[in-house]
Amino acid sequence: MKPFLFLCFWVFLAISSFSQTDPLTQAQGARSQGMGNLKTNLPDAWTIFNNVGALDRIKSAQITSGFDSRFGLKELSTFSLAGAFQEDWGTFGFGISRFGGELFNQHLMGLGFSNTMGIVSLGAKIEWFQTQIEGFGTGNSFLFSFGGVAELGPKTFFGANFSNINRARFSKNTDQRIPTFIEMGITYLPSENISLYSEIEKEVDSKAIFKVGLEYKLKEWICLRTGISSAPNRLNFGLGFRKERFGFDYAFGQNSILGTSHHLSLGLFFSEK
Amino acid sequence: MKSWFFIFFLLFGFTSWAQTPKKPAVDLESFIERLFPIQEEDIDYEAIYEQLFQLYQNPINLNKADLEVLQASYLLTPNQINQLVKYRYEFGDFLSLYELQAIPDFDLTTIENLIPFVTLDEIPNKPKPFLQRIKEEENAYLLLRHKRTWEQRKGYTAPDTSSTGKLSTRYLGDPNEIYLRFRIQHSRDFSLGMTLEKDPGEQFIWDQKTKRYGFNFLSFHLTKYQLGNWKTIALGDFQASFGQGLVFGAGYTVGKGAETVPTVRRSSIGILPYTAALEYGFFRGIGVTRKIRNWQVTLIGSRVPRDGRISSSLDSLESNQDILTSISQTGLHRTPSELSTKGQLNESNLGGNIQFSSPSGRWMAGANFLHTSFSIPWVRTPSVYNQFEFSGKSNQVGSAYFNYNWKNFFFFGESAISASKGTGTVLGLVSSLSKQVDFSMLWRNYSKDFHSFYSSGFAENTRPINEKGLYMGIQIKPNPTWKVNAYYDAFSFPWLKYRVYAPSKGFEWLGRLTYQPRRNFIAFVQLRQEEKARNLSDSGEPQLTYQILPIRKTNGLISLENQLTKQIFIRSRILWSQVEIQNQKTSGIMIYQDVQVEKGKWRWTGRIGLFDSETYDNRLYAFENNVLWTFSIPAFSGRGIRYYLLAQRQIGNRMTVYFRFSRTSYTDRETVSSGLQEINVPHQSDTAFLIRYALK
Repeated sequence: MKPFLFLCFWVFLAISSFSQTDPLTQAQGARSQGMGNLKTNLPDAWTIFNNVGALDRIKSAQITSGFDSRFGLKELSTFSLAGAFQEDWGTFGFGISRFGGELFNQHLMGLGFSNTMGIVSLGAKIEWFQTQIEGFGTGNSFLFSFGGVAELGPKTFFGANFSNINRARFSKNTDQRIPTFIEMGITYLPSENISLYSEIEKEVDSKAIFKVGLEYKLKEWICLRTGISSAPNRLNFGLGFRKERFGFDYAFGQNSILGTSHHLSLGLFFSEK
Repeated sequence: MKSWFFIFFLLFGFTSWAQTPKKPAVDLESFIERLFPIQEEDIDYEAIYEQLFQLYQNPINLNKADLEVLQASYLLTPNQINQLVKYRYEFGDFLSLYELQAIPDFDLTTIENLIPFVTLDEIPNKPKPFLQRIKEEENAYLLLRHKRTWEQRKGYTAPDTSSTGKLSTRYLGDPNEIYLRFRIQHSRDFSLGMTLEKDPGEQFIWDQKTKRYGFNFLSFHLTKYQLGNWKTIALGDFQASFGQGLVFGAGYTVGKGAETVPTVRRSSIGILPYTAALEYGFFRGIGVTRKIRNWQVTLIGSRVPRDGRISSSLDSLESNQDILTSISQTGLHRTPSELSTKGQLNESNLGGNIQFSSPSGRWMAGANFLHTSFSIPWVRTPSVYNQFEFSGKSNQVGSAYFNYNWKNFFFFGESAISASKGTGTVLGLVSSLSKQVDFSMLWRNYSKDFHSFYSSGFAENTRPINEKGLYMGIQIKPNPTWKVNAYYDAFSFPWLKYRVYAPSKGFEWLGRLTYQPRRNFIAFVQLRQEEKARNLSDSGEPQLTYQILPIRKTNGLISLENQLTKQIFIRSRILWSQVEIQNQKTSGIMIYQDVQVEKGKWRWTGRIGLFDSETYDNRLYAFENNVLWTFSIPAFSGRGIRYYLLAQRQIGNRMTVYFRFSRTSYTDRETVSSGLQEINVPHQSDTAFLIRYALK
């Protein structure tokens, strides 16, 4: 009975995507999660998931892995791996993510490319998404997404992301569609050590989410972050370390009803090209 | 009482020196309004005004002020404070206020805001005798104020006879409000003053039986500063503020408002004279502070009569014991019933503080203790939501606090425990992340049984009890013209509250965008939203009386202020509010226009406004100009017109006279207010008259 209830719960949540915990709709990377799940303009390897358009704005090639633990339940955790590689004619990225436990799990594999022309960076990606429910079946689908980042001024950036524009279904056997998202955000960098972010996210069937985030570089090697997102109201805090080629990020999320979540990212940076 | 008032700080002690910039005209009202917390409930904010008044009445000596004093003023960002201290350290004492321009990161607006509140004035090394100084002090005045509502309230009509033949209650006195104040003071030297007040409906009578001696309320103080090693000696009425205000909070303090960053931090100001006419929240007795090198010790002894409702409880078959069921904080004694609460009990306080400041000024730590006892035990009428509130005859509360300044980060915290073993903790920081961005954060946790009577710790509730929360505030100034202020506060109440019969959660945020292209032109847009739970009527289930559901309130404000010429100032505002209860939205709007004209010895201020709100929840709070040092923020609900005219004239060298007429006319009702306050016509007219007479 218990596993069954659990199953129903998660089928519902996954399909309505309300939880924003599955690999497709969640914000990936502890840096993003420490600032209220920002997606549009955080140029690092994780942006392959969040906004492929910002991928060409990374400073160096990198590989990163992450783990998200939610409300102390291992069935709600996510493991992810992402990488980005620069070439003369653009930046390539890949991302792999797994969410869930044995009874219910989802996998995501994506491949993207991004390029910069003048003040605008654009990118596109293709993803394979699998949902598996023990004793119920497996669904597969392909998704297309694109996004971009534009410089509005020396300190101001605009980013936008459109994910699953082909409105893919969870599987051939269902009419349930995977949620389609649009995110738009503005970044303001008042000085070298501070970044301020604001973003709006809308999925067709759910309420618009507003997000604001702040990143403060206390020293060259340590960052403090905080962010707020609405619907539901959440507070997030984050901490980032960078030592030579290694980066470590931690984020703490407070969901007012369900409890707290913890997010870790470990990154390896290659020398700048 | 709908009209709160504030006594404005005047800038006394402003003699001119050879090298002092011309004192700019300060718009104190807008300055206070910016600092002032967002109005939400009809509670009396007079004490907040009075506290700010105290703070700004004594100009800060820029050559003496430490970090604590500079932070308490809310005038400077942490970065600017550090730059000022650094400048003083590098170049020595300021010789002229013109030097402010040389401090890095001090822009013109900052300096203009700062100048009215600072001084370089020194007390001469060989001062004249104390009594002679009092006699010769220029900063001495007498103030007389009269206020009245001219429509007859029900309380002043002839009583009815009820079916049992009993006469219904009416007010004992007349509808005049009279306020008298005398004050003589010199910054950092002494303050001597007396405040007398009679509220409307109260009797002016000498009657020992009911403890009435002419004026209904009398407050007096004599405070001497800097007497040898004694920093402060206060006699009479005073308040105290130490640490983050968990034990000694000096009444209410500013909290969440349009000034989003510095106001979360409380300062250890120490002992302050009490001059407000609010009949609650002060000490009466003696308070002394002595400085011993880097240590500072304060002792407080107070005994003051309080108003309270007394009833007899059956202790045993033989004896009855008197108990106090409620303490009245309104200070109103208009009816026989209200009068029967007057001075019914004595409250004694014995407290102390010890504080150490590090020689470098980088950190400070201290401890507080306060013992309060009542002459009659306080036993509340029991209900589920108040079962953890204070009850009994005495309470003890103690705390430890610290301040630590590191670079542009000012950390602070205080943790307190009361006799009930309930605890309260506040931890926070105020910082300048860069020249453009200031940020503050505050976490607080007050348990449901934390009792502290003189506390003003940062809280969403009106008192710091039964609350947990996290506040974040930011100010962004990308250039001198634009400014963004915002805060977000998430809170939870672990136990039931009045009108919320379940543990609940909520949040609040505010955003304000200010555009100021030149000194005398300010435009801003402000939006605020709050979500909090409240009891809503019956859900239909037999066992549940209430459902506890979130209520979402949104308030908007658009403002435009412009000094058109030297004589004419205009202000236009649109206020908007919306309340959402169970997807039902109601709204309210108010639009008003102010004009201020100065000509010769006259100054005229006028307003005309329209308001239209669907429910009482949509009421709109609009700040209004009032007679000298009075400042009201009445709430408007219903539909109607509001206007007022305020005239001010200088007569001779010593006297200034103020007169104000205001009127609210309703179009949606036949009567105004309710109960004994009811007015039988759809309008209310008030006057205020004030004379300020300078004794020197």
